[in-house]
Amino acid sequence: MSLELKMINENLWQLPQVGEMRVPARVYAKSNLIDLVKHDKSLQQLKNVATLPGIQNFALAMPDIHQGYGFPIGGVAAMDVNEGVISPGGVGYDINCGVRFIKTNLSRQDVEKNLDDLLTALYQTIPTGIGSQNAIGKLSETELKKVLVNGAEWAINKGFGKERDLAVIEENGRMNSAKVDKISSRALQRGASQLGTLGSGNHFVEIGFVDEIFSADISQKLNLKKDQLIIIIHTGSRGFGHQVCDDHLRKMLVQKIDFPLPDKQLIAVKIQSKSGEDYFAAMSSAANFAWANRQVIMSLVEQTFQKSLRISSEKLGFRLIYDVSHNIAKFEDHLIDGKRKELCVHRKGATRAFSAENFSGGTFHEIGQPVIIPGDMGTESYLCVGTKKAMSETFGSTCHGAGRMMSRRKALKSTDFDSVMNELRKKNIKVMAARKKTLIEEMSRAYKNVRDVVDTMHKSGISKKVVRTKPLAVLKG
Amino acid sequence: MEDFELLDHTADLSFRVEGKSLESLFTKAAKALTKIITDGQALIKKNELQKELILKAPNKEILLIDWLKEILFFAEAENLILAKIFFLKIQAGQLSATVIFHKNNDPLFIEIKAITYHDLTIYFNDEIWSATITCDL
Repeated sequence: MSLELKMINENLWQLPQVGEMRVPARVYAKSNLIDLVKHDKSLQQLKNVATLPGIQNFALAMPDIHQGYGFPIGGVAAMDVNEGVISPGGVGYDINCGVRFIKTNLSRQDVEKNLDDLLTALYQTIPTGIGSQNAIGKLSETELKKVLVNGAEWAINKGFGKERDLAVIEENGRMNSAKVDKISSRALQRGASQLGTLGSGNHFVEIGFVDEIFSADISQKLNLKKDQLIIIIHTGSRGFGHQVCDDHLRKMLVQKIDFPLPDKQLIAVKIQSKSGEDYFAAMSSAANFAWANRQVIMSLVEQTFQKSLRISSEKLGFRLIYDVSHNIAKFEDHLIDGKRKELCVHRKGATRAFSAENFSGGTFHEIGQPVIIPGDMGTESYLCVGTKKAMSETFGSTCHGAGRMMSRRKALKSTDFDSVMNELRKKNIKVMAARKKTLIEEMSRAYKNVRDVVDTMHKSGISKKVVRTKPLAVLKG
Repeated sequence: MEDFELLDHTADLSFRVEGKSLESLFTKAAKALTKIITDGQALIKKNELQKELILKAPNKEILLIDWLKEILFFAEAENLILAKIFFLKIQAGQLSATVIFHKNNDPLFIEIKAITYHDLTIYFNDEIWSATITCDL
């Protein structure tokens, strides 16, 4: 497999179009990252994606690529809306899993003495871990359906956050394509108690600070300065989204398809078909659930800060900088051979990174869309912005995180809880999680170096670094 | 000796099961899944509940995933953990079984988002049925 990879430049590699592939595949990666990719099935999975009908230009992989199921994680595939297919596997089970970045008026020094109390208070307020539920009580079916239609706006109407937040959420926190009649009763059952919950695994709420500024101009426009206290929230659509994906995958699997399918998990149907439209409507509903979920959690975090630090909302200055999705399919216009074309862009473990030209006014028209790229709990995270080059090379997409390189099983075998905690303690990072096991699985060594990942995309000109943040306290799922 | 084998997967979880018949394979797969999500911890046997399950699928692979999804759904959404399987029968794309669940209010050990169809084939070699199942974590 590795022999087939051809270097385009020091940060970009190509797999030639062979066999059933309809387009070549490309991987953005520095040389040390490309070596990691060769050890699992991610390149084969990327080649499989390149066989899907209607795929345009290249099957793309970001530098955080790693083996998933069907699509690799860190994959981007854009399909022609007339000839192409839509694939639930190209979005993943955690529909609209994403990240939001919040700034405060506080500095790291303001909370240093209160971090333990803050973290404990967050742990008590935001349900975390496996099957977490009942952050805001169980929703009736009628109310849940309102969430599915209105997304983050539902949460704001209920007092979770402010109207201004909507302007800084991808899609303004709501996909109008949502249709609740495409949702199964099982999905409704699973979603009713899960709004405002973090879930398990790599999901988190992180209290951090701005550690380094790469672009003084952009960080000033975003009102970010060194040592400023920030919050990052990472979660998705919980059991609701998982069920939606599952329901529609199952329906598609029993349909006849007229193209070779190298892996059942890659099942896809024509975008312009009833099942394609049904899936997109259901996926949109789950995306709205996820935006409402992050909106509620953000508000709970804000309330916890105010209560725990005994300060006013004004003094705290909680302000959402941006909210991005990294598991989603969207209809977007992109240039193909110099012509504007509507495409269905699948981003599975990849983040939208639109350039400034895509915004008609406001700050983002000057700086481009903010992109949030979290690292693991023991290292660092990045706020970047999208660029013109992203529009021309990656359908306006970039990486989504560090990317796993060690299985959870290996992580559990390689160390113990005390060692992980000692390592974090040395870095003055406090953590809390529902289970010790999660903290071992999520140790830094299980992930690629996020700095290499972000630098690959920065040097490629796809997403430009604005600030680097470091964690102070992390609530893990 | 476990009745299943855990395999390495970078981001997710895979396990392999074998059985002398399809029925045995399906039974072992369901028990393996239960052992994984509960970490094999013995449950206090209370609030026993019996369900008659009937599932239909166009092929045995999809039927296996449907079966495992059913076991997972009861565990995650209704806190019902598989305890015993009786009279599991597979015929003409249909599975029927009597399943005893125990109510469990403790959180599960692992959150499995979904049972995937990734690379799924049920093999029959040397009188043994086998399958490798990948779960999204």
